[in-house]
Amino acid sequence: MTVKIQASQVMRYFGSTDNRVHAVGELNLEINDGEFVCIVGPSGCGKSTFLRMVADLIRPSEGEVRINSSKTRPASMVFQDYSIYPWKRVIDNARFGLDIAGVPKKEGNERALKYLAKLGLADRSRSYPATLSGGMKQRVAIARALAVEPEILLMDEPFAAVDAQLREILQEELLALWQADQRTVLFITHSLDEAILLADRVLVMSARPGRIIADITVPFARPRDPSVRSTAEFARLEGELRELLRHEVNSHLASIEEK
Amino acid sequence: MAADSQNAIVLTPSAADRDPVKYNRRRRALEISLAIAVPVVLLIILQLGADRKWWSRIFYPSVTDVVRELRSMFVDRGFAYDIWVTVKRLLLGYVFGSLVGLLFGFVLGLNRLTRKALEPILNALYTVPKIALLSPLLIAFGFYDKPIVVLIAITVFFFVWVPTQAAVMSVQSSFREAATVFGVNRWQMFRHVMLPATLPSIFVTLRVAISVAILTVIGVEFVFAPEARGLGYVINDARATLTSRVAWAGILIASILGVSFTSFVRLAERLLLPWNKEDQGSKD
Repeated sequence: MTVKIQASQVMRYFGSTDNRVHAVGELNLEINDGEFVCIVGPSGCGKSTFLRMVADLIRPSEGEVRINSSKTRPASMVFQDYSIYPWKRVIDNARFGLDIAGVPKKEGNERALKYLAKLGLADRSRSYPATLSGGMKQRVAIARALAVEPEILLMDEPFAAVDAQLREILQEELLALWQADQRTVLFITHSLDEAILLADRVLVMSARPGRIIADITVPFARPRDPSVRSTAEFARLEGELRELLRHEVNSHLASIEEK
Repeated sequence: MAADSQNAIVLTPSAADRDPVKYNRRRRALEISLAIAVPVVLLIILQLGADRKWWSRIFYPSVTDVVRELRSMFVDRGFAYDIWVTVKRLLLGYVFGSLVGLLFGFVLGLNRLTRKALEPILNALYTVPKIALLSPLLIAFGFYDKPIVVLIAITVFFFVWVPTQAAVMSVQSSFREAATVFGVNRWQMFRHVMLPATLPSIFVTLRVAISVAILTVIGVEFVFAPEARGLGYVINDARATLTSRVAWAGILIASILGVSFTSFVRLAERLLLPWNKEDQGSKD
């Protein structure tokens, strides 16, 4: 297997020197091509910061993030707050990345529509986002990210804002979409259940400054079905992760009290 | 158990829930008739008050007095030309001022270095009463239309620049980040993200700026009116001739100008922002 994303001795600080916050690091990790990796960790541990570095929205303060790709923009991103454009119709939102890449409009429409259809939104392609529910908006955001057929898909708590039932449906859709083309996915979540269901590997990050404290391989076979949730192995894994995180959050709280 | 049912709170459908279509139709009819009736009633009161001598006709002329005066103003002094010179100054000043204000709002909102370089000076000038600039502008641009247009433009500029910059700087960061991840260039960022994201508040600003522009043009014409023409000159001149009818006629025209320009900007807004929420309620 080839390595797709490699972080070496990555550190990230925020703020000026006298008021500096050490947000991330030292971070060393490798993510293979075609791998689905979930990152879990306490709030503020720098998960999103790492994702933003891979997206080239921010740079590391020290070390390097290496992405093996011949493209200048190999990743696309799905944000927690949808961030689809209210001034564009659904189809224009889904086609946005293709427009920027200079794909002719006709071909762009076909490709955008293909992904909208996969996500059950073909009949809403002429609507404005204001008329859509939260779950539909997030589907548009996913279609927009997938339409450019990125080598790497970055997802920053994409299902955090949708309700529990819808979340399960979107997880299943994502499983099916991933199964079809097996892109490299970096997925941030707070939900351990979600992480185990979706991922090949779950990375557990420590409280700030965020480091990788556990790298757990999920043993379930692909294509994966949501029914794995009811297996004993699933429960055992979830318990193990919960224990790791509880310890992290507690030590973080203790360190705040000391200050 | 009977006592229980007597003390219950019973919630049943309201009139609006029982027949929404009929309810909405009635409500709409009521709203439209109110919008017409209130001004009509006010006009009737104004007319009656003057006719029945509830107050002095000299100070508050009746509606018919004003209309009659207006007609004779058009015929005798060529009032249409007064309106025309004022509209011309107003439009030129408003358009220039808005364009430059938008330009500064975007450039300063998007570019930190320009902001750091220019913001202190602009903030210092912001509170200067622009009418005070009239004398230097007259000296610099000559005693004709140009200084008036420049003064309106300067006033409008500040009213447009400040809110535009604020709107640009408050665009949701994930809107920008989503575009950045797709590799947009500066122009694409502007066209696909920054401009449409800020247009709704820009239109509010442009509407407010209309009243500021009208205030300025009328105010300037009070003190400086080339060839003794212009709407402001006419209103101000009523003081000298002690004819409040003339002043009221001028004020009426000024308010009609304001309403027309504002409706025009609103129309442009509706055509350019079909996605804006206000409209969608009626479609779905």
